[in-house]
Amino acid sequence: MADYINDNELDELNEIYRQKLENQKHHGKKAKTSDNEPPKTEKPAKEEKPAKKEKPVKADKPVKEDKSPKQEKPAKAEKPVKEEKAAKDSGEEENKKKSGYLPHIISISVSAAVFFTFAVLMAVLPRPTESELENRKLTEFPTFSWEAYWSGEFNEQISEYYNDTVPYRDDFKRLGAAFRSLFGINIEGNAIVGPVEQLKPEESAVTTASTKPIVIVTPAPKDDNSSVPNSKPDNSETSAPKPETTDKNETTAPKPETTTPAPATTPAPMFSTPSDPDAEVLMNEASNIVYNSGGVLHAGTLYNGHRENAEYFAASVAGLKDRINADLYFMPILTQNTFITPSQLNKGVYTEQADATYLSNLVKESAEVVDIFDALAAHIDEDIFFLRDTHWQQLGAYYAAQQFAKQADVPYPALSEYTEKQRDSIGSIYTFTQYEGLAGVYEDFTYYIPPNDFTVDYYDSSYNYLFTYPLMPENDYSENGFYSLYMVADDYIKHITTDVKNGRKLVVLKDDYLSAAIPCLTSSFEEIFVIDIRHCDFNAADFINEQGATDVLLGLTMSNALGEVGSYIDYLQ
Amino acid sequence: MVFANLLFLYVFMALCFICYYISKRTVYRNVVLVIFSLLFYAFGEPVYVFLLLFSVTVNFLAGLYIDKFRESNTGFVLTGLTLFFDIGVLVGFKYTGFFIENINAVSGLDLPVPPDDIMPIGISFFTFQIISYILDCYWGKIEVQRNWFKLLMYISLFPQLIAGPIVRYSTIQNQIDNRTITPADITDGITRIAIGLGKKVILANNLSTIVDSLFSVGSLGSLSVAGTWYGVIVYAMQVYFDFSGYSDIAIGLGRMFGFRFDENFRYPFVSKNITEFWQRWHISLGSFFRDYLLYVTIFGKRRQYLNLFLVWFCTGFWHGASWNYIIWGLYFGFFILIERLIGNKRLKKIPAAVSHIYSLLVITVGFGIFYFEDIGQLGTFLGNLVGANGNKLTDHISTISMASNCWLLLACVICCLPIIPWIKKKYKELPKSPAFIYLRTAASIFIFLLSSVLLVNATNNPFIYWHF
Repeated sequence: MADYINDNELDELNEIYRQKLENQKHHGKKAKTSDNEPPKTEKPAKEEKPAKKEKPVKADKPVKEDKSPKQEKPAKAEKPVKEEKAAKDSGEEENKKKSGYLPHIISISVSAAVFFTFAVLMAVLPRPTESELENRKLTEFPTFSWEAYWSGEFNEQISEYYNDTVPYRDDFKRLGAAFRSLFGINIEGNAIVGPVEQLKPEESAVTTASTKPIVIVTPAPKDDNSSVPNSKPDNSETSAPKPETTDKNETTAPKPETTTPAPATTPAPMFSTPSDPDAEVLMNEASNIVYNSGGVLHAGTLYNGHRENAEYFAASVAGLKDRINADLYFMPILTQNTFITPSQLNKGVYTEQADATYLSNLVKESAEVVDIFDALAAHIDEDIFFLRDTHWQQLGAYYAAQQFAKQADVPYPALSEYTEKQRDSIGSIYTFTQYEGLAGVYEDFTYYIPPNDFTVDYYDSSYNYLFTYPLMPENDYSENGFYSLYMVADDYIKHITTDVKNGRKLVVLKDDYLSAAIPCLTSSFEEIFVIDIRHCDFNAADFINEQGATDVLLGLTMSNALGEVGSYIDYLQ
Repeated sequence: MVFANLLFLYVFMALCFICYYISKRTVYRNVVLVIFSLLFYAFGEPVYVFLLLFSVTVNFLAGLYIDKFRESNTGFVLTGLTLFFDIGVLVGFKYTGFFIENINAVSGLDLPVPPDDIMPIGISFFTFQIISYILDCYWGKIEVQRNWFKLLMYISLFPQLIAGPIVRYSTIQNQIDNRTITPADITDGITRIAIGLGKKVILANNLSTIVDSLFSVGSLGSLSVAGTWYGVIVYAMQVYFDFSGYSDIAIGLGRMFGFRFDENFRYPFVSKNITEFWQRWHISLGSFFRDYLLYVTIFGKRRQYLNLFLVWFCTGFWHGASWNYIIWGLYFGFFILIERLIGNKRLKKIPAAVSHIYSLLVITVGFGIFYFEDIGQLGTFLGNLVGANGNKLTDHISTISMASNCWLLLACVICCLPIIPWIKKKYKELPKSPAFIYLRTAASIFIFLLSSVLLVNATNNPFIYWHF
């Protein structure tokens, strides 16, 4: 092992040795011709040492021939002491150099063995076509076309294919996730996965990827409860389901103890016909889903409401109504899950619309329900929702707010009076999931600047004044956090003073959905207070009375109304 | 193609090494390098490889004629025309959209703005290499290259083609024909590649997730003072590890091919002032502007302040076609001017702790300017830093983020400090000891494999340099 050297080293040593021999010859001749005195003799053993140690040189034939005893003997005999020493030093240096390289050579050999083993394994092992972890088909090898090649797309797809279909990729992904989990300590069970404005300190974000395959046909609700009057049939050909409680108007319903309570009872499943049987699911992680429907890439969060909390929510709303001196409106907000998502992908026990109907029937005794189903359904062919974001476009909010304005009997400007603008946006599902297929997939974000004048003061969650700022600060726009165009962030309380003089003061109690509707109401009320119920640290009922509000609009998505957020109504009183 | 990519690491690099090392003679090795470099560039930009070839041809011919007519006015004119061509190509691809946008904004016109993605990757790097070659030719600092193929190899050499460092022709002119590779070079190269990959994939990519959660995805307006500082400090480290990681890989690859590129980063965050920072940060760019712009005569003589202004304007503008980059460059130029006026002697008298705090503050805020291309957002960011937007002192989100990434952040801070050079200085014999070499190799293999695992279907692997 110690005698092994590589080819470069061998060449170098041979060259050094040749030069040494040349010198010896030259000096030998010189000594003979110029000086007739007999040369000093040295001990042969010492003279031989450097040459003997350079074993690899012996393998080199020409050098071996040069090293014939005939030529060497006289040269060595005539060599002066200085040169002998120099030769010896030089040889020792070479030896030192050679032995110094040994650890490097071993290191190179080991590194190369590991590297090329992995390279070969990646080339020869079968590549997976599906990911169990991500529940999706993996990238396929692209088909060649000159057009794709010259655009760089073909090579890009090869790269994607190679990186996405690494053998045992799911195991490597798990390993990578395990490594990342070592980056820090987890306090309060929280982890940052979503937009800042959507996180609440008390909320635990779910980060674990679901490995369960999606339910292709899920039970649709059977909403046939005769005890709930005027229950509107949902769009999956079912009627309103029967509430499980005996007394739906009970105002002392127990407070939900967990954010994800198990359903009190499970109704008999009734399977709906898939609304888009060809929809292809590309990713399903927790409740976030990416699918292809009609050749269009969609992404959203599947609805999974907890109807068992409906009575409690209704009781909270009734409590609020009792404490305020204003007209109370309740708007159950319907999302893409009602209008766009293929029915077979829904995984909740009831559909969103069925729960909205059910809850509306419970709430209507204490609040005037603003039913927006018809208002939105009439415009379903327009861009009222984002394709890859959980929110509605402002156009959807406009139609919903129009329904509210109609019921509240306040003026409402035509859409043509607004200034329409458009920007690029990347949907929040990409942010939540980092699903690669959504990376760089933009869609138009259309927003409308109100026609009238107003000022907006921003307050903290305890209603301490912070600053005055635009309602829609376009300079702060970012493609990934585009919804913050509506009043910066949810955790500020806003007070909008408009140029309207009708004596109407509105307090909006909302989650993030109604943010987009606020610009549509600036021409309808003299003052508007916007409170996100997830970010309110004071008694909202008292606040409503103190401000002399004439109208209160409570607008929540069904997921929030029937989840933990719905319980905040109780805390606000 | 980029370095932090499994296809590059396990296919391209593997094949390149095999072909390179089975070729014994330098001339064949050069052929291997040119072929692989062009394949590397053509992988992502098949069309622009022709632009690269055309540019090399123009500059090759220009170099020959400049050398021939160096002493006459013809040489001067030829140099000017060649620079005009080179800078024209750069401006044409990189800055046209920016100029049109500004013209539209000022004049109210609605001229069509070309899309961002038509810019050839690495154009700023290879253009600057070409410019250095032409100017050095004209000034007689180097011997003109009379072989087109060798000049092509110098310009297209894939380790430094897309993300630097900006290698001067004078640095490698002798290595084109004569270069030796010792086993120590190869192990050093392996270590540098592994370190660079680790910096990029393990550190920078994961820091980018934190930055995105605070600045890009979240609402900047609702970030607290501490949260904003936290975000921008993390971003500064992200850019450092990203960029220096790429430079490490480039230097490591060069070393394994027998080239010795100059260092591009030398622990910039330990600087005591901004002048020193720019002697430690992106050294090849700083030295380029120093040699080709700061010390050149303008209208007959060197104009200290005009030259200084131009250098920092160009430094900023080089990084991207956006106002924030220009502001960023001038911002640093301002502090360097102040430091120059104060003078070195007086600067040295300032206590070290104060100097470090000053430079870290300036550098960190500078990275905020670098991040926010939107001037409105930049204003919000600057306001956030001092609580001028009415934002809170701390916020829950940032606290959680700090806690859930505390070990990563600690590792990053340690990696920003010159601990390895300190150990090498203190124990001079250590790098030569076999145990150290084996340990280093084991660590390199571990980092390389861990980085590979993290690159499997990586969704947070940003490529910062497309602007450059």
